[in-house]
Amino acid sequence: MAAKRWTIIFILVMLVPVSVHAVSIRAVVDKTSMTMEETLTLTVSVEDADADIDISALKDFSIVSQSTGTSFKWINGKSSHEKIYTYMLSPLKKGRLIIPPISMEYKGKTYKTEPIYILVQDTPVTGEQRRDIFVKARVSDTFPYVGQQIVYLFSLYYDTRITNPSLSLPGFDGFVAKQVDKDKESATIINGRRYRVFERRVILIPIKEGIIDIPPAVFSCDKVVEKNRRRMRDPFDSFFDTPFFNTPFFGGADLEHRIFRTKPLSVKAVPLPENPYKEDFSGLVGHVDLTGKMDRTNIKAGDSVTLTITVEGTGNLTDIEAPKVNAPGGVKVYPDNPEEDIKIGPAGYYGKKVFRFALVPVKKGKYGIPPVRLNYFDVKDGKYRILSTPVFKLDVAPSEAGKNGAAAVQSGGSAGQEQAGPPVIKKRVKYTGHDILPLKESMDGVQNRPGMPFYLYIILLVFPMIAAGVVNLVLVYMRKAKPLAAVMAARAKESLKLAGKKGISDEQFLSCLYRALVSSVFARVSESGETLTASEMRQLLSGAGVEENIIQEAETLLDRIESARFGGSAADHISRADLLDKTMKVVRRLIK
Amino acid sequence: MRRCAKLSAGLLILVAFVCLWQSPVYASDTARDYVEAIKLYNDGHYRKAAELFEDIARQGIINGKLFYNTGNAWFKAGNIGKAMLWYERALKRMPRDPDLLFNYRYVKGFLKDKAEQESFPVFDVLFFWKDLLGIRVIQRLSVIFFAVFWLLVSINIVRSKRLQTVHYIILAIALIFTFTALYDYYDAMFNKKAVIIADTAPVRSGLTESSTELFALHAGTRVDVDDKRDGYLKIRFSSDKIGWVKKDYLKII
Repeated sequence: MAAKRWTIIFILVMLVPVSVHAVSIRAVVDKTSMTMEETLTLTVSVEDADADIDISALKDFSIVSQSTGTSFKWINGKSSHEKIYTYMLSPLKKGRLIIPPISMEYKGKTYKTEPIYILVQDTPVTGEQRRDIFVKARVSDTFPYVGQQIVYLFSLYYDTRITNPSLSLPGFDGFVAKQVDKDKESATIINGRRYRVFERRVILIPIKEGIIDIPPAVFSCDKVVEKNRRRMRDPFDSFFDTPFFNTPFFGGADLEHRIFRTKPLSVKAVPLPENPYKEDFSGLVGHVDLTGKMDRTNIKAGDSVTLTITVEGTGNLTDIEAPKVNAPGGVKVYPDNPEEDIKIGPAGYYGKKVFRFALVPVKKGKYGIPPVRLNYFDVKDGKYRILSTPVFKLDVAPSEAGKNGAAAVQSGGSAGQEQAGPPVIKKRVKYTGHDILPLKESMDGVQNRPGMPFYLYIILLVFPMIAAGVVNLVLVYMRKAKPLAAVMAARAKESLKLAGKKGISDEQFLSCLYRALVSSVFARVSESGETLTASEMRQLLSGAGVEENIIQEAETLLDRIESARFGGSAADHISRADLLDKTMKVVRRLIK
Repeated sequence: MRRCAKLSAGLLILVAFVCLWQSPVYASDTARDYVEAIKLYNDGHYRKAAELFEDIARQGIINGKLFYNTGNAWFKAGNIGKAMLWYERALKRMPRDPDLLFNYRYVKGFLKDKAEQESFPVFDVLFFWKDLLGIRVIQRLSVIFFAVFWLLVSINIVRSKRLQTVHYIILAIALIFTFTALYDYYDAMFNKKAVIIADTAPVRSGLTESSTELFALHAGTRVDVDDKRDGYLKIRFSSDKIGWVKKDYLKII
C-alpha cells in the first residue's frame, strides 16, 4: 500500500508544471518611419514577471490608446506566461524621435528594453526607407590564408509577405566553393522591428593569393501588397477582410516585384608562410587533432597488425596526404586506402580522415614504431604545427614456420617452405619519388609535322585511281590505232607460239596452225578475217602481188591442215613438227 | 606498254614522296628560341620556358615533341590545366610515346575532377589501332596501299590479266587504313574536345554570369565541346553533366 501511495504522489508531482522564471522585457514597433498623420503601434512584452512597466520616459509621442493582454504557454512540460502592453502612439514633432528604454522593477531588479528610433517626416516614406525587405552578404574572414576555408553568408530580412523568391549567388572565381546543404531560417529584432531571416551559406576556400572580389548576390521576389477593404461599404466586408482572403488569388492583394543586390565584397588571401619544420607540409589548412592506435602489440613474425591514424577537425581534410610511417628495419609497411567521413556544416568542412597501415614484421624481436607526425597549418594560431602520436611498441615472436627468426616472403613460394640458404625477400619495385620525365631536347622538336590536310588526303587517295583509269584509256586508244596488218600479224605469231607448246591436243594444234596461216594471209593484204578457202586465199594473195610459188605453198599447206582437221588423220609428233615447221616458214614469208 | 608501266611507277613514286616528305628544320630563329626554352627549363625558369615553347607553337609548328615539352614546362610552372592541354595535343601526334604517357598519367593524378563512366565507345573499339600507330602514319599507309593497289591494277590492265588474291588483300588493307583515317578526320572536325585551364570553371545553365551554376570543373579536366555561342562553349563532361562555360576558361585541344 505504501509503495502504491508513493507512486501516485510521484505521478502527481510529475504532472505539476515546472515554472521557469526567465524574466525578460522587450519592445517592438510596427514601423520605424512615418509621417505626422500616422500612428505607431508599440508592443511591450513582459515574460514571466508580474510587474508593471514604466513608460514615463516617453516624451516624443502621445499615447492615443492602450490595452493589456496575457498569454500562457506550455512547452515540453514547462509553463510560462507573458503580459503584453499595446500602445498606439502619435508623434509630437518631426525628426528622429526616440522611444526611450522602458523599464520594469521585479524582485529588486530593474529590466529595460533597448531604445527605438523613429524617423518622422512630412512626406510619406519611400520604399527604401521603409526597409521591409533587405539583403546582406558577408564573409567570416576577409584576410584568410590560401587554402583556409571561410564562410560566405547571404541573409535576407523581411517583415512582410513575399512570394516567388529567387536568389542568384555570385560565381566565386578564385575560390573552391561549396554551398552548405541546409539553409537557416530564424527571426530577429532590428531597431524594434521584428524580421524573419533567411540565411544561405557557402564554404569558400581561396586558391590564389591576393585580393579576390566577390560580386553582388541578386535576390528578387514579389511583395504581397494587401488592398484596404475597409473603404468598401459592403455587408460582406467583414467576412472577406481576413488574411485568408487577402491574397492575390482572391484578388485581395497585389504583387509588387522587387529586386535587391548585396554589396560587393573583397577578400585578401594571404599566402602561407614558409614551413619552419623539416617535416613536409601535409597540405592541410585548418584546425585538427591527430590520434593513432595499433590493434595488437604481440604478434608472430609474418603476421600483420593494423596501425590506424585519425586526423579529425575542420579544414580541407580531403586534401591531406597519408602521413609517413617510419617503421624500423624488419617491419614492412603497407598503406591501405584512406577512409573519409567529411561533412559540410555552417562553419565549413569538418569530420575525419582515417589512414590505415598494415605492419608486417619479418623477424622476431621488440620493435618501436616511431611517432607518426603531421605538419599542418593551424588557422587559429596562424602558424605551422606538428602533431604527433606516441611510440607504438610491437613484440614479435618467431613464426610457426621458421623459428630461425626469418619470415621470408617469397613470390611464388608456399608459406612455411624451408629455405636452404639465407632467405631472399623479393619486393615489388615501388616508386620512392615522383616527378615527370625530362624534356625531349633533340632539334627535331621544331620540325613542322602537321597532319595531312583533308583535301590533300582525298587528292592523294583518288589520284592513283585516276592514273590507272588514264592508263587504261591510253591502252585502248593505242590498241585501236594499231594497223590492221600488224594486228593480224601479231595474231598469226601468237597462234604459232601456242601451236608450238607441248601438251596441246591435235585439234588445238591444227586449229592454231589454221589461224596462223589465215591471219598471215590477212596481214599480207591488210584486212581482217577469221576463215578462208583456198580459192579466196589465191584471189587475195594474187591481188596483193604475192609470188606464185608462195601462193602455191600456202594453198598446199592450207589443204594439208584442213585435211588433217576435218579428215581425222592421226598426227604423230614427226608429222606435227613438219607441219609446224612448214607453217612457220609460209607465215614468215607472208608477213615479211 | 612498257611506257604505261613506267608512267604508273612514276606516279606511285610521286605519291610516296608526297606522303613521306618531311619539312626541314625551321629557320634558325625558331631553332634558337627552342634551344633557349630548353635552357630556361633546365635552369628552373619554367614559366618563361613554357611561354617560349608556346610562342614556337604559335608560329605554326606542329610537333608532338614540342607539345610534350610545353606540357612539361607548364606542369613545372604549376599550371596543371595548360600542362594537360599540351599533353593532350602531344598525344594526338605521338600516342605511343612512353615518356609522354608516363608524364600524362602522372599529371592526371593531380586533377580534382574524377572522370565519369562514359557510354560504350563503339568507334574507339572499332578503330583501336588508331592510337597504336598515330594518325599521320595511318594517313600515309592508307594513301600508299591505295597507290600500290591501283598500280597493280594498271599493270594487269596492260597485261590483260585478271585481279588475283593478293590484289584483294592489298585493297582490304588499304580500306581499313582509309576508314580509320576518315574517322579521325571526322572526329577532329565534329567531335571537338577541350581542357579546362582555369583553376575553377563554373558550368552554368545559360550564357550569362547570372545563370545558375550547375556544377564546377577544375583545371586539367577534359570535356567534349558541343556548341559555341556568345563567348560561351556548351560542354559535356559526361552524359548527364552538360552546361555552358566561358570560353576563357578552357582551350580546344
